Amino acid sequence: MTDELRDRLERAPLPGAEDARRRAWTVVRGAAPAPTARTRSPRIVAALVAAAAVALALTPPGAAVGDWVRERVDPPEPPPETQAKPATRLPAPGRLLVGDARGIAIVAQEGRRTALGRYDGATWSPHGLFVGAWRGSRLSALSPDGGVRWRIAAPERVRAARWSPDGYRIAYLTAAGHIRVVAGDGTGDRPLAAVRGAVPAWRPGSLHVLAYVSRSGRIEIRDVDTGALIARPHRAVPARTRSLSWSPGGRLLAASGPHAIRVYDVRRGGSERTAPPPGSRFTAAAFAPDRATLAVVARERGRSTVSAGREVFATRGRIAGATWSLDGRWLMLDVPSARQLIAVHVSGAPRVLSLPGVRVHGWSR
Amino acid sequence: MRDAESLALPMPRQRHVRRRGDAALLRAVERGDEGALAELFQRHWPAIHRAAWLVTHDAQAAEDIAQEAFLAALGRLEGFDRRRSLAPWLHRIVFNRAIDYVRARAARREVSAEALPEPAAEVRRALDEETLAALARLGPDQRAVVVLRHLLGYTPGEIAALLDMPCGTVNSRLRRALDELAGELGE
Repeated sequence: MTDELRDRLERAPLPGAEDARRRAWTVVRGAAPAPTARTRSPRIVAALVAAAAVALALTPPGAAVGDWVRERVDPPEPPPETQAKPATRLPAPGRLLVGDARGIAIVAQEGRRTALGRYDGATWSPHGLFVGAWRGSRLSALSPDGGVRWRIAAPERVRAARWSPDGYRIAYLTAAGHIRVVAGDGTGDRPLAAVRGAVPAWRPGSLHVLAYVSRSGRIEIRDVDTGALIARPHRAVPARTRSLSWSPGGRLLAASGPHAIRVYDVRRGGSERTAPPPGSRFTAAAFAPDRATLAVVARERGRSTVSAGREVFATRGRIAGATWSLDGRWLMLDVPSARQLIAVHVSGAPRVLSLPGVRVHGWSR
Repeated sequence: MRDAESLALPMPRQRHVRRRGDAALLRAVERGDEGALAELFQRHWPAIHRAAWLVTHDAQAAEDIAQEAFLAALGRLEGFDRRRSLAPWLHRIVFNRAIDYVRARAARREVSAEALPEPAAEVRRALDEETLAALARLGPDQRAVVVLRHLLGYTPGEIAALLDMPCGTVNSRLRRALDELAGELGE
């Protein structure tokens, strides 16, 4: 019985074993200790100190950004790792909007996936009641089960869309470089501005105030209902700025391109530019949802490094995007070459999990 | 050859005629030797992945649990006693997490014991199907001791140490599990 039982246990088919091993190796290799004995490279330290200088120049002591600076200059020691939960569930509360070659899907916290259909991209409504999704020149509002609530035909191919904080407006960017705004019920589609390629960002704490990069390469912050220009900082955005990210209070705006990140203090004026270490480039940057900590992904000599107050993850894979969890404790990283998402625990015990998917489009309640 | 290719890694060089022990590999990993990490991974991954699968009967959970165990081990290299083998350390993490997972799943009533996820039909053979089905009907603790004893070859004393339970409990669980399996498999 026992010899035969061993044979049977060894022979019992293990579904997807090869794929699982390949995925696991990608994650394990990426999490391997660096030969520099876990100390930051001088270049990364220099970048972090430079980032700290940005914040220092922008804010008085004691302001919210002070926390950001202190975290960077004097990072807390990570506590010892605690028992991890199985990673079939999302590591943080909420639902994840993900995309891969099959289309867009919602991943519930317990890991259940609901396919929404073949779309090029998607964005959550502010309370997670709807999903805005686009394919070609069609922009749709979907219920979380995939049902279409409304659909409009945009005049140009849609590249990205973002739902306003109160849910009553959607701003979308077209491939031809125009921003258009439509009401949350799909009515009143109208042009707002001609822009460069960066995806626009709604200002937190405001109803319908949108930041975008104008054709002249400057940030414009505008009330989309009245058309009033609220701010146009003097300094141009970095070349090839791809993303804009607001700090949670709507005071700081980070514009990130491959060769620089510029952080604007919209309330007080002024900005500071941070360049990556020589030979490297930034691939993503995003403010945490609950504090003025900027997660920055840099790539240097075939290695991607993720910093969020301290260095939290490094891998050989190319990281295309970083999305914070709602509680600000996890970063979900897009690693398209590995066809998986990597979740990195930012605050507290170091943990790294992987989930199937190629791109995260957002985290919602 | 296929293993190394599937990991997109160069094969270990031929000069490594003598198989390195875990301690030597771990030291090399700390120096940043990716080949050593690949060797450790290839050495331990199949067993911990299979063990997690046999306890959880959930392919996704098994992959996650085995992966987390490896990452947890990598993250605690400094505290690891190099005089000991890596395998029991990994197995302790895997089995504790797998048992916790099965208990939590049962508590959440996501799936009943009768509806445990099964492997893809096209790769199943009748004999293996019987074994998996019989194993699935055991409780998670019984599954764990059976896999530890009969797949990984631990002694009851070692299993007791791994799972923090008395040796007598291990023996009684093993005996009951084997009786139930024999009944299920008609032997």
